[in-house]
Amino acid sequence: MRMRLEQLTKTYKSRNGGGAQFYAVRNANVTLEAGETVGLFGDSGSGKSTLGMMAAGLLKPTSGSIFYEDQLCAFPYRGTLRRNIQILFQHPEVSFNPALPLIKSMTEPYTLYNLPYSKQILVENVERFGLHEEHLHRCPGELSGGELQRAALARLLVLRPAVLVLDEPTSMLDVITQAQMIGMLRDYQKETGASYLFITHNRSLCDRVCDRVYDVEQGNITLEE
Amino acid sequence: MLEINHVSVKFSADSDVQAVEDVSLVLPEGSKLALVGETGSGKSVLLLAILRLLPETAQTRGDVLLDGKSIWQMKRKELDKIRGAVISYVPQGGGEALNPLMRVGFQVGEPLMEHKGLSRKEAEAKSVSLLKKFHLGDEEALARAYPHTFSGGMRQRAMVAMGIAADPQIVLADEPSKGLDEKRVALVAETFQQLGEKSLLCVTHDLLFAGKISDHICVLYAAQQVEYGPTEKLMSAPLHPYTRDMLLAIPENGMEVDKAGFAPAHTGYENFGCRYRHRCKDCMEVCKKMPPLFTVGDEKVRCWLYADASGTADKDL
Repeated sequence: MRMRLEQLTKTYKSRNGGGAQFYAVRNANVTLEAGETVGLFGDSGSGKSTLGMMAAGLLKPTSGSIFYEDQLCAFPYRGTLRRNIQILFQHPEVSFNPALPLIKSMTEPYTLYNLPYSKQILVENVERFGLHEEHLHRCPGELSGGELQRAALARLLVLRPAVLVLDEPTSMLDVITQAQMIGMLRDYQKETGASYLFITHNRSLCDRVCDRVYDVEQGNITLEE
Repeated sequence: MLEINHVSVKFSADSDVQAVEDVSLVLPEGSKLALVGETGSGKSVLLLAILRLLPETAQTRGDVLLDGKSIWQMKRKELDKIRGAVISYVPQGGGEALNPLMRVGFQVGEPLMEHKGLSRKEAEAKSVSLLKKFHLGDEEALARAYPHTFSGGMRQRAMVAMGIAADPQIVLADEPSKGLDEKRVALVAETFQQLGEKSLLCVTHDLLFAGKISDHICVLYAAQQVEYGPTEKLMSAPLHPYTRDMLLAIPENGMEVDKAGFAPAHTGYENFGCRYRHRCKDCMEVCKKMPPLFTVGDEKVRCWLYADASGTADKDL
């Protein structure tokens, strides 16, 4: 098993409830096999993004455990664990520093993990995602949402992650760009056997993309039959 | 009635980026028109241009007429009287357009104070009933809340409520369904279906949403109009290859697309020919030349496939 979330819970103190706890996620159990795409389906505010953030190691669970390849994951993730589990956000514009030209942000994974880097490697990488060298010299504000989301994906996949948390990766995109992104994700999965935790509120997209689907409702997670 | 006559937009005088190119549309009273296109196709820019909301450095050509009177020639004072009262604009996004330091109720009621002379108290009371239309739940408390406590979907609906507050004739909405889940999209669609006599010009990338709220659809691709027609016809029997590909890319229809194809950059459009030709399955030799907008029955389409079917290219274009 690639990844396992066990009794994962996240609570927040309710501001006006006098000490009452708000359960964003309550006792979630989720399993993820190698090469599998597992859906988290629910409305906005249901807690699916919170669960995704915890799985990606960006948010500390209140209680519960996360296992990667049967190893207990400590928060925050470090080293290879950090590299193996990545997240793609819904809003591509928050994934990039708005003040820096794209190329500065795109070189980060290479420097952080000491990967062989040259400008040619970077350009070849982004070209597979339909971007050109010219795009790299623009700032995020000068790129369209679809272009930025493809850049975010290109940057992520440099690290060759084994688990990708996809937090509504296409809900801000038009249908053609959405279908292209899904195609790119499929190619990467075929090539590497990566597992996806696919967070979405689009029923038909969910059915088309996911092998198994968990329903998320008010913090409660149940596997669909 | 709103008429958009040959509108073109460039972001600055020395920029090569052509954001909108020679778009003409008519929005008769009570009609609902959806502008559909992918990110970067120029649809939002066109919407901003109508009420002169673009940065001052933007270069515009053409004209926009409200009941025969040019909006673009109006003095600032005249324009202020129209904005929000006759034509309202509902901006895009999860509420970045709301002031984070003001309570939602005040912001929703602001157009009423500005245009209808209501006092602050009256306006805020009215804003509660406006919010009620959008089923936010516990509207009295929410009207006193600040925007950051709202979810994206709630902010979106609050902005639509603000847009229709002063009872405008024409509503311009920019991506009102973007990023919302299906239930919220259905609610926004329902709201727009209740606009009744009001005209609606709605920018969206969601074809299914467009199908629910509009009677006509205009498809933009790379700054140009590529297809225009009655919603039902366009959704069931699209003419332009781009519209066809877009419908095929919807998850319900199988998401069949060419992975390699992307829209051309916004520069170097001259002598490019048809801008969709690199992605088009029906590409022919003649496509190296830019097709005019052909009229086929009550539809318009910018594609050489229909050169014979119509023979009547729009002379103006």
